Amino acid sequence: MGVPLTRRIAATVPLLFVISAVVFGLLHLVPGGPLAVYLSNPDVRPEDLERLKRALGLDQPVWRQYAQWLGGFLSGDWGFSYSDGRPVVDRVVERLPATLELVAASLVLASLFTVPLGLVAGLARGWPARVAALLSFAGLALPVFWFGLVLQLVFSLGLGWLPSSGRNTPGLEGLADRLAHLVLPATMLAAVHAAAWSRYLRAAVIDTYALPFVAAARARGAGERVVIWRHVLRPALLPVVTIVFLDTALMVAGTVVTESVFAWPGLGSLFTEALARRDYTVLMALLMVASTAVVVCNLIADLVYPLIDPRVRT
Amino acid sequence: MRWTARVVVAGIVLASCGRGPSGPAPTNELLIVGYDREPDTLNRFSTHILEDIQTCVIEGLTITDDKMNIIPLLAAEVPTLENKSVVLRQDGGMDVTWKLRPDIAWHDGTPVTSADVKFTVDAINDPSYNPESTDGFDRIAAVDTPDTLTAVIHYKEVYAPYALQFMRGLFPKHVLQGRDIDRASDYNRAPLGTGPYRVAEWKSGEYILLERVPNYWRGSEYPHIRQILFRFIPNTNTRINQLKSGEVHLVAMFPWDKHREVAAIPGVTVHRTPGNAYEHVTLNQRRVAAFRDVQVRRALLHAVDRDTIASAILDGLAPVTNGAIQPVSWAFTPEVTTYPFDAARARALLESAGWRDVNGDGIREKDGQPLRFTLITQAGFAVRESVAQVLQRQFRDVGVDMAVQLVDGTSISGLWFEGNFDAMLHWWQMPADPELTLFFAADRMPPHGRNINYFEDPAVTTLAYAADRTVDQGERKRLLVQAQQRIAELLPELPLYSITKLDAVPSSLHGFTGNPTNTGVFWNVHLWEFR
Repeated sequence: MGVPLTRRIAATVPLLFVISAVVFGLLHLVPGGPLAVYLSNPDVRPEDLERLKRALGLDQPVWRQYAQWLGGFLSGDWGFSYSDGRPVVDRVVERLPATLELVAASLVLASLFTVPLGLVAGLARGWPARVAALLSFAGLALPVFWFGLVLQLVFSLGLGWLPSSGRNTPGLEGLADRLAHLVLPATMLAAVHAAAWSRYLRAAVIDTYALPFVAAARARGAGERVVIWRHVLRPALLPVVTIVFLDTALMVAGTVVTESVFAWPGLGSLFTEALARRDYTVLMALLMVASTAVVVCNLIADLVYPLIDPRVRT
Repeated sequence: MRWTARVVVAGIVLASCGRGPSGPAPTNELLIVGYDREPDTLNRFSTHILEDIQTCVIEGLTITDDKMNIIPLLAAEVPTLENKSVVLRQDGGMDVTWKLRPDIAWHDGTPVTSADVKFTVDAINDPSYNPESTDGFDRIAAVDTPDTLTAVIHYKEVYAPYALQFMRGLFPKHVLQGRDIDRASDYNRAPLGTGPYRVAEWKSGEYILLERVPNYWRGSEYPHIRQILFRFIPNTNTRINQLKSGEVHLVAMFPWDKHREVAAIPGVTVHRTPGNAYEHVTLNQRRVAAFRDVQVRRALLHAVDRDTIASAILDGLAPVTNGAIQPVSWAFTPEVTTYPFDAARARALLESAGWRDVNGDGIREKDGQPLRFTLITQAGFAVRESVAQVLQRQFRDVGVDMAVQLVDGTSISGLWFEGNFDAMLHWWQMPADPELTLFFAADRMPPHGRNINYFEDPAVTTLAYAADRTVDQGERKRLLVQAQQRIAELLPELPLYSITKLDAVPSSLHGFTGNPTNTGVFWNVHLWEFR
């Protein structure tokens, strides 16, 4: 497996180049650049706009701006944020822990929902299967935004059990406080993903269940429990794992809606701010982080397959 | 289900710990503000608007109060012609003498002196620094500092808003001299000021915590509130939920469509402040030929029932306005031509301008061209979207076909700045100094200004410039009144209503007054007190 892996990594490098060039171009095509925010301020004169444009290099042709950005990026200089003048690396790194924390928590929660939901929906008959299917459909159909607000209404405003937003109570650094803040956003994120993942698992379980080796295992006298856990679930998890890792990559890149509803200080809220300001350097850095995360998570998924299914081992 | 069990357990554990998630009641110990965004920087000359947080930390030589009067802050008095601190020179320039209040020190104990005034001017005019605006500073030829408390500003020409020149504050020379201010993160994230508060902590994406300074220059009893916490909550629903749960205490400038919801929260009072901004429809004469005819512009305004919009959609929160200068300004005049709702009159005006429905499709035509245009407005403003729909229907009633297009906030700025629109529903936040030049002078069309009606009238241009070059307020008002009357007569844009700022404030907070300008509500924060 070693050779194809290095080859895959090598293949991603030009891909990342192409992505960066396309997105850089697209960002500059969208009307309203980093200076748009000044336009409605009567104190900022047209002369000021011209001056700032030159100072930020925005008067250069787009290809030259891209070349400058790329040169810097490759040499490890991600540039300075257009909005606050701080190094882009600092802005991204300080937001990373919050996002990782949220993603990790929701991955654990989502996995806990996915397996029972998927198994029950795929294998059970009658009302348990229907309830499981209903739950995953509900999860898929719920507007994420609205679901987050309902969680706030019920658990913060109604019951007063949990804080409605933020990562911790300023001034309090305790673990309990941190966890309390994590519950609602992690649940919101987990519910949405578990719903989708359990649909995949259900389909895979149904397919696998019909395969000859399952019948063979049963014929050998294996108990139903063993058949399901060892012979059905393990191979059925394969396609789900791919989706899980891809989704994880996207979540690392920023859980925009969740972070917005719960004022979570991660990469998603940074992305929203940077997009509104057309903060090109920050946006490009976030985009490269996202692309890299997708590539890395794909590779990890490849590495995990053989652990789950012996047939993939070579 | 396992997860509900977990949530329940977590809730019970927390509740039993005796500190539920609902925030502490507001007291003189801590005020928590729900803030719609995180500032880029606290450097007042770099940021794109005067931010509330800076107002608590940094003080200028003057400030605008709740009546939009310019009052002295670090200056001993506001220089005027009468007190002989403003002198018009023979060569067309002017000299302004600022006297600083004695015994004012930066938070690190260093005295504030005229050298800081001079340093501020030099830093802003230094091409290596990129402030957002050099307005006025670029007209300063030199600064003299005859003594530590006196700074004389020599302007190359008469600059009417001179009294607001140092409203944003001063740079501390001893901290910033010889440095790259754009990259001075220590200052930009926790600026050294003279105000009642200093920045104790800034946690990116989460909050900024301000802490009272021990020896504020107005007296050690000020400010009364020990800490102010600004939490960044961009989502409006979340911000209002937090207000309900008591996790935040104060939300400034919340949207109008939330008014009833917020007003119903116990312990919260909604403050209304008439703003120095007005909602209007910009008519791009460059793009739409029909808008070049004053009859058509008048007809459009006659077609709109602004009183009903104000009472039904705006819930009586915003009064109808007839021009760019609002009642809160000293330069305002109500003596202008008005265009009350009168659909019959609108139709008659359009008829006389040659617009008739020839083919019977309900839309008027002239020379084979239908009277048709697209209105752009910012997406996500519920009130604005509703107003756009009303305009659409009322224009349709008089035979004008208007389409509505919603555009995101940043894109819309790009569109209007390049003139790529027919008509636009939006507001201008007007400068605290009543200036019309930037918006109505013929040579101020983009990229040279914000005359995006592409309106050209020599009389308006002359009056607006004359007002800019007049220091005497009485004479200035006379010129601005004439300009307002002329603008109302020619009606380059359709004024709709005056903006009212809504602030949700704890009922037990005393001293809060609001502020119409972008100085923001914290202008008198040292007086705030819970009782």
